[in-house]
Amino acid sequence: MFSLDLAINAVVAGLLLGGFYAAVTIGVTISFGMLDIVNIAHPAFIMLGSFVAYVINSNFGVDPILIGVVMAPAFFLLGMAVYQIYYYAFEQRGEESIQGLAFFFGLLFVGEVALILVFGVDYRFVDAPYIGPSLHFGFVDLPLRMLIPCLVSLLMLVVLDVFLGRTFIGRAILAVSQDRLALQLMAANPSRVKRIAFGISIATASVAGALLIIIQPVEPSIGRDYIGRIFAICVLGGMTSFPGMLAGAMLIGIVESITATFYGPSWAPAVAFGFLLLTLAVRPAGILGR
Amino acid sequence: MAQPILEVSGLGKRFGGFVALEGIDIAVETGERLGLIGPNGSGKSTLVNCLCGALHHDSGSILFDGRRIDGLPAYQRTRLGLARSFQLPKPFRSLSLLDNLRIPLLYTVNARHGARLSSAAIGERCQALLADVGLAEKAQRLPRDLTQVEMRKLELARAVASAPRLLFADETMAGLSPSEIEEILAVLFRLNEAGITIVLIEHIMRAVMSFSTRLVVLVAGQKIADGAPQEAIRNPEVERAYLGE
Amino acid sequence: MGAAKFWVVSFIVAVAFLVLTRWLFTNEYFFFAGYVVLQYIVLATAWNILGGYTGYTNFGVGAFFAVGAYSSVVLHKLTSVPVPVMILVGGIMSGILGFGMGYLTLRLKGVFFAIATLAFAIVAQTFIVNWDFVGGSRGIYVIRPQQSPLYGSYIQYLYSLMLALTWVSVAIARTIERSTLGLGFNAIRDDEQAAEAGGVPTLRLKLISTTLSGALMGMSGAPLPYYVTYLDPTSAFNLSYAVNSVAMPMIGGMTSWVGPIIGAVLLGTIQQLATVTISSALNLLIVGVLLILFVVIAPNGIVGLVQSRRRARLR
Repeated sequence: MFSLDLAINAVVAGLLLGGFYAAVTIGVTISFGMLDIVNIAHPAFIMLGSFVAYVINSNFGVDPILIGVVMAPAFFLLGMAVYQIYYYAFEQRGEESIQGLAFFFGLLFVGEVALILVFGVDYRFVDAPYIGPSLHFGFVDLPLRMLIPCLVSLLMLVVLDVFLGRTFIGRAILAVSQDRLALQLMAANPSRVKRIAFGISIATASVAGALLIIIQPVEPSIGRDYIGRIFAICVLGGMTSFPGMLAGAMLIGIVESITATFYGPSWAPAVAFGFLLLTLAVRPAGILGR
Repeated sequence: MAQPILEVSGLGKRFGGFVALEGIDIAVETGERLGLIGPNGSGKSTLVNCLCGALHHDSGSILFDGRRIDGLPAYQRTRLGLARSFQLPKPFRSLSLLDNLRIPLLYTVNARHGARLSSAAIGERCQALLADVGLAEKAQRLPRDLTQVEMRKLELARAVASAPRLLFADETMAGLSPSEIEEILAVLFRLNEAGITIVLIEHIMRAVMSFSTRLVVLVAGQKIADGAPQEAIRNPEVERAYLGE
Repeated sequence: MGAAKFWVVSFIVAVAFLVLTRWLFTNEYFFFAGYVVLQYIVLATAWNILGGYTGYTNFGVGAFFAVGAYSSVVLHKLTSVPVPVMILVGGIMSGILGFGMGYLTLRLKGVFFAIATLAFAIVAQTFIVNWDFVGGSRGIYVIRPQQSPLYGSYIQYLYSLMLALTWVSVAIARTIERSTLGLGFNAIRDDEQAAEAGGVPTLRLKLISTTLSGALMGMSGAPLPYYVTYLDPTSAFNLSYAVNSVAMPMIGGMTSWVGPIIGAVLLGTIQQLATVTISSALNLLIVGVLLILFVVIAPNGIVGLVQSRRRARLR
């Protein structure tokens, strides 16, 4: 049954969702798009972020977004450690992608199972004053629990964009993503720069995880739904471009939202993955090109 | 006059907005040694990729032995007799040198009409091909045990293994010492004497000039000279391309 | 040893193994556990044809396995067919799926292919979840026949079937390994562009690889409904099948037919013991951790370790 109210609300919800999806994907845009590291375990780090937010919020009542930001440095260090292992195991040896893939696949799996062992399979949620109330503009509902994460996500995007464009390290990262040889000639050590970049990408997972658990209750296996979404958005967005990624995220958000509203939520997971397959089959370079 | 073994007409290729090749017309005569030169970025590799099927060209036609090969995938072009060696050697790293050569023998030579080689015959031919480039002792080794010049030789041997009629030797000599360059040149001369038409894509002028019977010069995606080596070099446009205004 | 001889020798080994185990073990539990380990040998071997030999990492194992299982469910609901026929049908359906997936993903390399396979699995799962005829998300109960068509209990019958399937898949893997086709697969794995330039019809070979790999996986899933008697999408498409199918060949060694067997027996046995003694979640953790450890420390698996030690001793 098609109603304009419903459709518009679905689109709005999709836009907000898409904004949040950008936060989830930005880490992979950095690690995969820029550094060519196939970190398919990124959802595991996001889930970790969610559960860290849950633990601290439920024990100390701290605001989840604050937790996400404060814990980001810890995640940054974790990311650097993971990169270090990856570097010694793969990049140095020049081993091809199959083992690297398996490494991250293993991490993804271990992450999920470890969370299940510690927290069980129950849904967990956080408590915050903005979970619940909504803004209303006519017939359009803007739930705060979706609006705020969307805004925070956009803020994080802007901060990272500025960082990459204006700071020395940021520009070094961009340089590495474009031309490794040039960077070596500039006497900057590419692996050091890559390590920092990968650390940043995992740090974003801390914030993204906190945002996720604000939007919906989480349980460990939710991470899997995100693998497809993340890579679908990354590819749609052309791999390295932030605006492209945002556009892709919004697109997926809207399509998912409309599918869930009119066809039922059980079809929603197929949407992002179907999109991904379609994009990969038709235009591997993404919508905005590489 | 005999039909050219390869006829390229009006070949064009763009990458997005960038025009890599435009209006390329080249006819390669059977048995000749054609040199293809041009500054970096002039489109030489793109041209080779389009001719061999690694890239789809956007416009123009390619005739091999009078037959249009435009839509054919690379492996079919190889089977027709058009082979290439890669600029950066791409050996099969987990296979021995013998097995590296077995692939083109099994998949190209044996895929053609006519008698199929037995596996014993294939083994012998692999050994012979390796001996031709001086790699016979390393037959059972893996590519990672090879020196730079040996890798280039393997690359050539693999292209030759497919029993081609036309061979594109893509910058086989880059970064080699003068004596190593001589070695590779010797191999190429021998192949040509055995009947293989060779297109040599190179930067090393000395090698190109001594090897080629004809020279084609590519600059910024367009052919600006085509003729006897000495004349092509003296073409003022060629000078300008290499030395600047 | 020539291909034909291997088929015969391995057949004899399989039969001997069957007779021996039936004679030695009277506890039904052995056959329950043995079925699972054998199933994993088939999955690992099948995965390795596309992964180890051809170099394409398939994370969507669940899709092929589950399609095999669910095609048996459909057959079971529509008519009455002996399980070997179900295995064949499961293989055909998964083979078609493998062909389709191969065709769709033909231009993708490396991680894009892997992600696409994952996407494929999720899409397949979503379809099954929404298909009420086979029970949808609620799952379906399948009644195990009382009588075993052969001898012994029904579980022993399923175990024997899985042993036969193991024999077939291992023999196929070895035959491919030593053949022109296998060499072509390896060339694609090592350098697809160079393979294409060398005359290898890469698209055709990749399709053969995905179809064959998918078909074998489907066959390994076909008897599952009778084994578990209750089937639902969550368990049929379980990611643990994907992780195990990747981990077992990686840990055992991806370059030869021996690797998947070593990996499957090792990991399968550990998991069966752990499930009984500790918890099933913990045993999955063990698999994941072992995968990571091996991938980092011994990327060529156990077979690789043995080979390099042998090579070192020769020098």
